[in-house]
Amino acid sequence: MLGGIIEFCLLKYNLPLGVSLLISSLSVAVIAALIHKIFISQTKNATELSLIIMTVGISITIKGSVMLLADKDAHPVDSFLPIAHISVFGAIFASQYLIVILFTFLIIFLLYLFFKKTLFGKIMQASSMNPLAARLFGVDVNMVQMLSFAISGFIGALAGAIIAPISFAQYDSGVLLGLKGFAASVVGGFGNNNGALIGGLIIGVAESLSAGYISSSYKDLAAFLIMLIVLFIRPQGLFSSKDVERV
Amino acid sequence: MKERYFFAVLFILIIFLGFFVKNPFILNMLSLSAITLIVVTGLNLLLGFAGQISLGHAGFVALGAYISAIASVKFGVNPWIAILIAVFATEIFAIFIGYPTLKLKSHYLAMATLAIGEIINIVTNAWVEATGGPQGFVGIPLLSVFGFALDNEVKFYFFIWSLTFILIFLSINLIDSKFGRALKTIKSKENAAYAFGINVHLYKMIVFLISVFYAALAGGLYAFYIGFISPSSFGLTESINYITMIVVGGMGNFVGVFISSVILSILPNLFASFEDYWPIINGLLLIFVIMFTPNGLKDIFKWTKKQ
Repeated sequence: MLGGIIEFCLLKYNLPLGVSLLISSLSVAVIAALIHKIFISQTKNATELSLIIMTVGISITIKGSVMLLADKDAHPVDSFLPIAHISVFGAIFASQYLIVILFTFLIIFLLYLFFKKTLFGKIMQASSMNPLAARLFGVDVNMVQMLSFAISGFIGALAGAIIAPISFAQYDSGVLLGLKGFAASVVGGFGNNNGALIGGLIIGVAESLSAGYISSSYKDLAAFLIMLIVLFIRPQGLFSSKDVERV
Repeated sequence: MKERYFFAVLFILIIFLGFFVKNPFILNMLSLSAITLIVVTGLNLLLGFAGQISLGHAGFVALGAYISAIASVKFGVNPWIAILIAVFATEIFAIFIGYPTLKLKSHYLAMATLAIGEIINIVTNAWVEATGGPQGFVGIPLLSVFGFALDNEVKFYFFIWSLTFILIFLSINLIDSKFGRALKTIKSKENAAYAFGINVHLYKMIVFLISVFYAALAGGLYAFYIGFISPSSFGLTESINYITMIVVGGMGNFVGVFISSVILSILPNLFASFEDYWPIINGLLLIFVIMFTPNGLKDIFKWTKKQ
C-alpha cells in the first residue's frame, strides 16, 4: 500500500518510472527498518502477543497518516508498458499483468538464491529457527531482524507499486492484499515458497471463476473460504509435509 | 474480591447518574459505551486471560446484529427470541470457524481471525437482498421488557447498564473458577497446561464461544437500540478499537478495561469532528502502551504514585 502511494506521489513529479519504483521500495525498506529500530527492539518484556498487537497499531497508524496526507480517493497509476492492453488468441488483458508475473518470478528466484546460496540468508534462517543458538554463534540477532524487516518492507512495497496500475493506489488497499497473501501461504503450506506460489494461483483462479459464475461482489470471499476449508481439512497446507506451528 | 466491591460501588454510581442526568445525548452515549463494554468484556476473557487474539470480533457483533434484525423484521419474530436465535446461530458459526482457527498460534491466529472479520464484512456489504448492503438495514423495532417498552434513552440506559454489570460479574466469577485458572495456565505456558492434563484446544474453544456469545448479544442489543445497522459500524476499525480498549486497560484486568473502554468509547462521540484522526490516535496508543506500560492503566497508576 505504502509502496503504491509513494510511487504515485513520485510519479506526479514526473520522475522516470524505474527511479520512482526504486525510491519508493527503498524508502519503505528504510521505514520498516526504522520501525523495528524505534519500536520493536525497544519494547520491554515483549511477548509474541504484544508484538502482534503492536504491529497492528503501527499498521493503522501508517494507514491513518496516509489517509490524512493523501486523501481517501483511489489514485490511478499508469501502466508500466506503453501499450495498456495485450491480446493473446483473442483474450485481452492489461499489459501490467505481464510485469506482475515477471516480477513475481524474479523475486522468488532472488529469494531462493538469497536463502540457499548466501551466508547472510543462512544466518537469517538460523536466527529465525533458534535465536538463542544463533546469538551463541556470534550473530547479531537484532540486526538480522532489522534487516529482515527491511527486506520484507522492500518486497511488500515493490509488490504494492507494481500492482498499483491494476488495483489503484489507495490508503486501505493493503489489508485485503496482505490477507490474500496470507491465504495463499496457508493453502500452499507455511514456510514453503513453491507451495505459496501454487496456493496463490489456486486462489487467484478461484477468485476469477467465482467472479464470473457467481457475482463479482463475492470475489474476495473465495480466497478466504478456500483458506478456511484448507485449515479445516489439511491444516499443514496442501503441499507441505513439515510440522506446522500449531497445537 | 476487591474487583467485585469496586464494580458494586460503580453500579450504584451509574444508576444514580441515570437519575440525575437528563440530557438524552449523554445518556445515549453512555448506553452505547455499555454495549461496547459487553463486547470488550467478552473479548478480554479471550485475549486477556487465555492469551488468544481475535482481530475479527466486530464480525461476530455484526452477525448478532444482522441475524436478529432480519429475524424480527423479515420474519416478524419477537425481538427477544430474535436475539436468542442470533446468538445461537452465531455460536454455531463460531464453532465451525473456531475449531480449525484456534489450532493456529500467534500471528497465524491473528491473520485468520482478521480474515473471518473481513468475510463477514464482505457478505454484509454484498448480500443486498438480506442485509440492505452498504446502505444499511432500517426499521428495526424497539425492545420491551415484560410489556414495558424501552422506548426512550432513560429506560434503555437502566436496562443496558444492569445487564452489563450482570455480565461483568459473571465473567469475574468465571475467571475465579477452576476454568479461569486453567485459562491463565494456557496463557503463560501452553506446554505446562498440557502437562497438567488441561485439554488446551477444548478450553480455548469454550472461552472463544463465550466471547462470541458476549459479542453477538451486544450486536443484537445494538440493532434493537439504534434501529439501524450498516456494515461500516462493524469493520476492521471496530475490531481494532476493541483490542485498543483492552490493551490500554491492561489485558486481563477487569477494572482497567472497564475504565478504558468507557473513556475510549465516549471520546470519539464527544469529538466527532476528529473522526479522521482516530485511527492514528488508536495506533499510537497501542504502540506506546505496549512499549512502556505493558500492563495498561495499572502500570500508569503505579508510575504516577512513584513520582
